[in-house]
Amino acid sequence: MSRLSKDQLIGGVIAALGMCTLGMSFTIGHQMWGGESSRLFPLIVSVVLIGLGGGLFLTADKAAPVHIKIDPQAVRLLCLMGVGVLYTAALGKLGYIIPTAIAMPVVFYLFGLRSWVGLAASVVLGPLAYHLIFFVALKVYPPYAPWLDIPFLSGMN
Amino acid sequence: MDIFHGLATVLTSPVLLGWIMAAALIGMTVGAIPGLTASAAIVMLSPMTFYMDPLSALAFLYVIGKSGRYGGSIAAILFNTPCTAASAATQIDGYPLAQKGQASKAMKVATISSVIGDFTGDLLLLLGVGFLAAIALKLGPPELFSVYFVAFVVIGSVIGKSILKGLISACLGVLVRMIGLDPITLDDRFTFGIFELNGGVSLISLMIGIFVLGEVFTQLTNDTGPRATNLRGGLNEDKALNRLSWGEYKRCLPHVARSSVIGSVIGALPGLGSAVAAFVAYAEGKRRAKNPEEWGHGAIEGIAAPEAANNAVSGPSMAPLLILGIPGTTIGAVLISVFLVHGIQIGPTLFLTSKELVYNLFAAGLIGIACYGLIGYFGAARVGQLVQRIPRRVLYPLIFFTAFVSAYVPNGSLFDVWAMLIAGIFGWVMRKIDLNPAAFIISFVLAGGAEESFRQSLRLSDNGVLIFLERPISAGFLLLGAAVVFYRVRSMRRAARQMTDLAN
Repeated sequence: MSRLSKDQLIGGVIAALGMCTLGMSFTIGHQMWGGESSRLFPLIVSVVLIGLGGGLFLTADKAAPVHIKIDPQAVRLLCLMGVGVLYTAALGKLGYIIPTAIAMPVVFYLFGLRSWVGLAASVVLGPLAYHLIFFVALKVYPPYAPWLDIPFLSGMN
Repeated sequence: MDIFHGLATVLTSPVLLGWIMAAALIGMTVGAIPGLTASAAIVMLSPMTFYMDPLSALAFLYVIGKSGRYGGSIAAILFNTPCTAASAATQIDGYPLAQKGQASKAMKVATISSVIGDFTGDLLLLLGVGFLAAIALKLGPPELFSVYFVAFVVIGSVIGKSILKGLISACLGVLVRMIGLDPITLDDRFTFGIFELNGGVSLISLMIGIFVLGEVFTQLTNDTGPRATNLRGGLNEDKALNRLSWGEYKRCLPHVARSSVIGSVIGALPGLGSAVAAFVAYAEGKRRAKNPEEWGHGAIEGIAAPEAANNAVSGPSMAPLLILGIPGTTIGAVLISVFLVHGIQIGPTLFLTSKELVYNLFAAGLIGIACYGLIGYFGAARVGQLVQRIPRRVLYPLIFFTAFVSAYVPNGSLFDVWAMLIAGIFGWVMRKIDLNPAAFIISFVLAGGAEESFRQSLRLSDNGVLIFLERPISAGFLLLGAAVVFYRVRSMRRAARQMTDLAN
């Protein structure tokens, strides 16, 4: 069985996405007695997306089948995305400073910084600088840290 | 005249002048860093401008956009690394001239041409915008929808190498905009029961994710980065060789004038942008040059033409943005969000409700051009040396964390941070599969107005969708959209045929 090329795969995924959104569009409320409705535009866009995805599938260059390879760069990228996910989750539990102090040296390391002095400095200076600029100078209200809120944890509030 | 009032307002406000000068320097520096663009800088900094007054916020971001366009020439000439497609045209003659030890001369030519081009574009904007706004007030919902439709089609089909992928990117942008409560009936659309999605996806989160975080992910997998390929064009070069005389620059003036007009016309059309303007100007300049054999080997005219066109785009690109609410560039899309945050409704009524603000903004743009011109003429090489010193292993992590906090700042919402992260991953995927992030974002911005005018048109109509064909202006715009796609397909097929003939 011949493998799909990159554009065929993309076209197929886009057409499938269009079909999903087409189905979901029918769950949006509509005007019982005629007139334009809130589902009209999503329906039209979904149909267009199916057409474009199908068009890309049919007109794709079939000569180059897609290859997915996991190399060290891909691993670093997945690590960075994972750091982003964990960092965002931690912001909602521990506030800004602690998650940033943990994540900063990890991200610097992923980008190639190997100096222990630099990594150690990033733990302190990075969160401090961002805190001073955004939460002190600009007076932005920092994220709430329920895991550090002792009355909250003990159920006393 | 309103522009003189605007100039008086700007020149008598030291704080505003300070923001403009800071923007000129920031834009030029960011524009000179390979891997970053003025759009990314504007997106990251825009949440911080929500705490400023409207004029300062808009002037700050507007001038960053202008000076960022010019800053791309620094990397193109000094590092042989164009930061944008537009500065790739400058690189053709700029880098060879730098290799001959005349980098400062190349930078001076680029600076003067950018300033002249930018001023020309702004002048044409000032002369034409009031007239166009008066016409726009007469457009009804069917005409407005047709204009939006043409914008979708042009942006989707002209930006990028593949028409299908460009249109898919545009459709995806429209689809993401549908998420949330319908503004008329309050039906929920694609919210999956998530309360925070009722208000839709935040534009700022989306832009920071796609343009900033997506770029950080891309840069992690690129081993190349800004390097000093050649800074012989630094401060130690031969001063006599790098002096730019009036006699030398006089040869460039016809090219600059022609390119400024080319850039202005292209800038007024949504979606085409600086890259198209720069290359069209270069090609036209070479065709008409008295010394075409020197082009490509360090001809100063070959630097002047694309730089003038590149910067002439800036002013006229504001015309569709301010008059119709149609951003032709990603910078325009960010400016729309800033207008909305400050409670200013853009569109045909803007010149009735906020005329003074608009002309003050134009005046700030003119002052900004003078600022980056002066900084660039005397300090471009120093900016280049500064950029060289910034290691990517420090720069991109800082950008990573700035993206997170910038996404949080506008609403103090962690949901926006999640949206930014998902958009960042999506932005990286889009780059990998050759979809077009700019078409996606611009379509996201246009979709709301397009749907509103579409539904209003159907309410007005007795014949359903035929209303778009019954009204002549509306039908004309729809035909224009079809013509653009037709000519684009034809030119792509012609180019493919020429490539095949060359290969054979």
